[in-house]
Amino acid sequence: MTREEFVQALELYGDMVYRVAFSALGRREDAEDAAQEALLKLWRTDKVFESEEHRRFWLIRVTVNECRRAMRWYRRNLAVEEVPSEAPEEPENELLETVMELPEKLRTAAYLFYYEGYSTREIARLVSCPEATVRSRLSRARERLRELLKEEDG
Amino acid sequence: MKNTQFEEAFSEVRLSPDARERILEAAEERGGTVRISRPLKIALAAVLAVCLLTGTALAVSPELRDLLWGGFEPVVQHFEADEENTQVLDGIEARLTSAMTDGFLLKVHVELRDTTDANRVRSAYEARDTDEQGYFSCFTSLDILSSSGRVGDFSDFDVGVIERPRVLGFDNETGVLTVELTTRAFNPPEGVDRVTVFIAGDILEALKDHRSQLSLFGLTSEELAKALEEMEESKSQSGEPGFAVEDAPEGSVFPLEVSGAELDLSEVLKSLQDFRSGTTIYGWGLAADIEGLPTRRAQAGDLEVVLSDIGLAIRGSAEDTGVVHNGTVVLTFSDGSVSDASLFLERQNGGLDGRAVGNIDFSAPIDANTVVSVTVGDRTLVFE
Repeated sequence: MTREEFVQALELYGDMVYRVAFSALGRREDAEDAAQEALLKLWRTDKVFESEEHRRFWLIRVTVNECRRAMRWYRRNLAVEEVPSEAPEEPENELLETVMELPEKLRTAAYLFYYEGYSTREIARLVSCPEATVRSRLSRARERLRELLKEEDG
Repeated sequence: MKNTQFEEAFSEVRLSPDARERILEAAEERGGTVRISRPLKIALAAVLAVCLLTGTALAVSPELRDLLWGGFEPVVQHFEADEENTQVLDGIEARLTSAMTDGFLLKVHVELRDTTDANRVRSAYEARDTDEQGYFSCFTSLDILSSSGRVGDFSDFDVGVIERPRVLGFDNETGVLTVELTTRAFNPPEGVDRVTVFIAGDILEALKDHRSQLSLFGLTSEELAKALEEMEESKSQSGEPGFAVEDAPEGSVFPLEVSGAELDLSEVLKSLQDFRSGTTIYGWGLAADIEGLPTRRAQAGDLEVVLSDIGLAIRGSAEDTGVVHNGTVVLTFSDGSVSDASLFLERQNGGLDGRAVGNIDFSAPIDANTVVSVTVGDRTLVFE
């Protein structure tokens, strides 16, 4: 990949990769680090993608893995009180704040389903879990969001 | 919440211009695409040349099997077919033919053959999704379990490293497909002398569907015992029936002495998979005991390197993460020559127990005994 191609890819996928990382990690700084690692993997890979969709899917998968790597690092390297909480810092808006109150696994599944438009089968492949688990996570996410939005309205 | 609300919620979440700039700078610092370096390319070219001469994609004679490992052949162990390393499932025979490991890098070759007339291996091979270097690009989880690898965190793939298997060739005459599977441990155990290998997941499906999953497990017997112990504990805590050693059925396929009991390793594998995802993953359990290659260790402060003929692991404190994961690594040999990054084929990074870990595979084997020192970033670690 040339520098010019990478700049184009950064333009095309930068926000998406960052959003995936942010939905998983909930902290701007951590999400930027994970996004950087994922995008650098794209920069360094010699993989030939069969389509843009294939490349997009691959990139999300790599980002999800980078986020897991980051969370694993927290658990192993930081004392419990230092591990970032699941709630985001400085939420961007009220809706986002509500979404980010969901547990990480639920909000990642919800983000990939509602924002990126992936099917439950595709999400199962992206996050490496059975499709039934994805459906369950989405159901729990919807239920929890309904409760949270009700609380806010009330 | 509707899709539009979700879009609204995340619409303001954008990668900042500063972050974009940093990523571009990092890309320029780290250099471009990593390609297979010259020695391995030569080895692969040799295999292809022989294949062309024989008129088949791959003739799996012992001589050609040797060639598949290229320069690594001297450090590879080959296995005669036996009931532990060969298994037929649904008419597909899978055989673990050869392997090499130093305790942190594990590479195995597996042959697949359809024993029925269905030609499923050929179909899968023809429908495969490969890139130019012969890797089929399925999303693959390759795991090494270790007592410190947090077996209990399976649901988070806490011990997983994402890798890709590589198709080595297909023999039109015998219908045998050969693939190479690789995994790495982030915590090179001390003095590994035997590793038992398990493969789970349908390789044929993985071959056809580039998003399928495949798992490769390399366990020492101590790790296996520990894994079972932790599974037992975790399951009993969750109220689910645990996997009990005494539950192992009679007529074990892969008997192994663990905690004083004979276990059916295929049942262990099934149990591990059940524990991992809540569902059984279709696949083979192939077992082979592999002798670990000798390693050398050098230390400077918190930084440690573990070197073998086939790879290098670097371990450091959390503060060393930058240099362990991204620092330049240079080997200095006793004749005064040095190797640069072009020697390295793959690099995997991680963290474990408060330490940063980086694993590097060599693209061609070296004689680890001739290495005098390893320089990681600006620090030089000298072997005694």
